[in-house]
Amino acid sequence: MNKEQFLAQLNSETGDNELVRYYDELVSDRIEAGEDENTVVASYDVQKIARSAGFEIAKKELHAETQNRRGGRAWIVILALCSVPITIPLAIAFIAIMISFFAVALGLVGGAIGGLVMGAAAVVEMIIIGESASFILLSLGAYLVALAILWILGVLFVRALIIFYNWIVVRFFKFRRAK
Amino acid sequence: MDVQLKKGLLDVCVLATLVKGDSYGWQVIKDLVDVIDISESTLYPILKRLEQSGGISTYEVPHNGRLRKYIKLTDIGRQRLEQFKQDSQGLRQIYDFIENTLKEGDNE
Repeated sequence: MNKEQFLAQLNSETGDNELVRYYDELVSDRIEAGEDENTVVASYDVQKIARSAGFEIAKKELHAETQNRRGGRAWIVILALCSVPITIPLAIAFIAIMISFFAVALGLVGGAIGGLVMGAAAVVEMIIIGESASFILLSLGAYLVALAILWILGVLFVRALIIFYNWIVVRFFKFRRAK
Repeated sequence: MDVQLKKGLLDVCVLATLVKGDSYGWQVIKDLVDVIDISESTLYPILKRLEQSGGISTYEVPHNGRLRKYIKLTDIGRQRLEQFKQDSQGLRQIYDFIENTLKEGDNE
């Protein structure tokens, strides 16, 4: 293979005029320096040059792609897919936490209702047994105070739950929007 | 030589060949072949990279009936060499430290 053939082959393999010019100059310089044309050309492997040039082109394309939005989105999809083993257990844990909070809230409501019924039953029972009016009123007072404390605790808990839930949702959506 | 280490040094080596005067592809390789492992296919992306970052500029000169692309060191390239000169003092300290610890290890 002579120089012209080598350059033609390089051009058809890479289509990179600049690269072909670069090798044209190198080969010419080496021949000028006294080396044999065929030996010079034989020292270059067109496939190898094309591969390394292709690698450079691929790197550039990848860079350009990550620069533009579509490419960026594609990467996020890949990242999201890669994070599935982590996000699924995280989502399950999150749902479990929400369910447990709901269960606690339900328990509080149930406790309040139970307390109400029990309190009413106790008052009725005390009247039947014939306890003194002052003791019944004292018991009723203590019962109402306990009920009020339970009520305040319940309200606070529900409020905290709502704040926590909003915080999670806002964080999640903000996170998604930022991407 | 370690690939990462070599990659950083190659750019500086190419810039250094231009300090004494403008050069061209084959001359750069001839100047460096005894110093560092460099081939034609390695030099090409380095030249492109250096030109893009402004470290070198190129111009063409007629030579034996063809055009030869000459490479010129720019001010940015000179700054990069100067930066390397400053960095190399720190590097030397690191090398000395590693060499000394290796020597001490051998003596024990």
